[in-house]
Amino acid sequence: MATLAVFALTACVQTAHKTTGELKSGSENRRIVLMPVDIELSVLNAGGVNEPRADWTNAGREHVRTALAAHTAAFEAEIVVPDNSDILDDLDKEQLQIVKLANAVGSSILLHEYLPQLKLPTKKDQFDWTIGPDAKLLKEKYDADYALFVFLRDSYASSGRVAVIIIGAILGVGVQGGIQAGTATLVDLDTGQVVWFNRLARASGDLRNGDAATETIKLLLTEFPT
Amino acid sequence: MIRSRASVGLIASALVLAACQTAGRTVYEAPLRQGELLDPPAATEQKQTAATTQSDFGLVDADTIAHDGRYFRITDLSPGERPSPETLEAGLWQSMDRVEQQTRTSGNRVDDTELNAYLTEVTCRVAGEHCNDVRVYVMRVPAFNATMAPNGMMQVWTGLLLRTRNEAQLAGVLGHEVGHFLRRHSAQRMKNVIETTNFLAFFSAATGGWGSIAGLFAQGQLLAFNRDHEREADGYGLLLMNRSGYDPREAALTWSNLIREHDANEDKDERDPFLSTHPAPEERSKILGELGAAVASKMTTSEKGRDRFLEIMLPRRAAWLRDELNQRSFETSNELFDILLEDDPNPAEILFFKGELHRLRGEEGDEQMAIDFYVESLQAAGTPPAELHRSKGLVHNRRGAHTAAKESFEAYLEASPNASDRLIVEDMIKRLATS
Repeated sequence: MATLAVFALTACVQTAHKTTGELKSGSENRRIVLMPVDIELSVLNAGGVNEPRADWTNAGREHVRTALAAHTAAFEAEIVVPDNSDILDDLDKEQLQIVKLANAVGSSILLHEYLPQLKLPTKKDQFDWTIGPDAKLLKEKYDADYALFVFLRDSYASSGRVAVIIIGAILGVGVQGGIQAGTATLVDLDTGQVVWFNRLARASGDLRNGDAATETIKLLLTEFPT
Repeated sequence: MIRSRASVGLIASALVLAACQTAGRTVYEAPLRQGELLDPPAATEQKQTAATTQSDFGLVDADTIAHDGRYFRITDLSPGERPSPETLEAGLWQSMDRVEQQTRTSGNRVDDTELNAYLTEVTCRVAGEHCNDVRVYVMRVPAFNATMAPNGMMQVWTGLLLRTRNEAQLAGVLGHEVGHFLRRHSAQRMKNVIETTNFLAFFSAATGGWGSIAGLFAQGQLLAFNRDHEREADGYGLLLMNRSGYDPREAALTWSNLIREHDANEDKDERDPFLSTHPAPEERSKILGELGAAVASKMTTSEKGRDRFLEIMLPRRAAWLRDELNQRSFETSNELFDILLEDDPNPAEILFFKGELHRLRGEEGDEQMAIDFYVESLQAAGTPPAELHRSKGLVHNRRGAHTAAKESFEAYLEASPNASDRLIVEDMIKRLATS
């Protein structure tokens, strides 16, 4: 809930953050693993309660995976898609902790890089976020040089919510509708450095639909290093 | 379901659709009806049951328990069943699957193979054929609680393991949680929250200023809904104890002990969130006591499983007692220790922690009380932890009793030669010898 609020607040900023515009040179050093996508699609009910939808989430995950594979195919890098690409069950305890850490660092970046009032004084203008050298654990697991973490939440106003929005508009009260929000984090698995980060937050898009998912991924991976 | 950017043409149809919002989604239908308690068993039911009147009390048949005109029955919900993907319940399960992933690697999960195996064993005995639907996670949290997620992820807190005194009491709590699972309480609750907040959104929009009053009413209604679920789960706890052969009279004892702890708290917060979502412990203790006795009277054999339970818990307990003290809620901790002392096989350990309580509180007279309890612990049955001597030395040192302090520190190193703080303690002994 708090994360979504931050998304909403940062909706006006559109730039990606990066430490590099280029991936490491040499084709043997350009393998990117697509980590299992953390995704949830939900209905925003009239009263404001988000109700997760398993069928939409399953469809959305499928569309996002297809879109990611298609979009990254044009990159001069080899894309690794793990067999068990939906769940993290085949990771051991230490590897899972690295995934959790990457997610935590991702939300910190969202919080402190996009909200001027939460800018960390010690960071100054440096973009030097890292998950530390233990990122190597994922390098060994997937035999990859980079890992791409994608987080997506997509909510749709129910017809009841739309009615409340309309009543609100008549009375002059703004009521939030469904939103699409997401982050993408690219981590160098040799150093743990976050080399590129982007996020999106908007009141449009539809991950239940394959073409619309392609558009979302294109937007999310804007300025992705090549 | 449509996006918020509705075109003008949609406005009319949206308002029409909103009117039948609550009927729009199919809720996963467990074999039991959602949101309400069971009717009495039908007279035509094949299995002949005893009278099914309002006067029924206790065990009606092996699968049904009655209280106050209400019937609780174990269902024929098929084990291993997952809700179909388009349902509200499937969405909840999927969200909780993600939470479970986090729980599995959570920092405060107790990763103790033997303890986990034991809890799984008791859970399976209670859950019967639903054994594989429920997964237990022990969490190091110093409070009396267990939780059940809609997908069958159950958390048991160490504060609960510290307070239950035998396997039957543990089984009562686990049976309660399994009851939440079997009756799909999370899904019912989510449905209730959505319907209530939906109603509220329209009511507020339509009436303006009355919204906040409706909000208060709705809040009360949601909490009452929760409390009803807790009562129902209590009934299930007893039924499952009966099925699995545990003494159902033990369930009430858990609550009477908790009431003692709560009463010992001098500045007890009347707005304790646990008490707003759960029935009052007094009510639960009373009803569980009456029902438990009624159920027990129909059981030929029942067991408490005290030895087996304590054999697993006692060697692990010191860390949980320490966590209890770290909450700095000394009155309730003291009451808990007194409750444990009433029938504990290792009173020396409890007495040591009573001493620790006084040492840490540090009020007038506490130093002497601490020393007294340490001495009592050394004379009591059982084994006190080696750090008793160190604590005793620290209190003596604080009071300027250098010789006694030195002796205690020496006793500590003798009792625990490989202590990680050996160098520090040796240094203190040296200083005390020269002072």
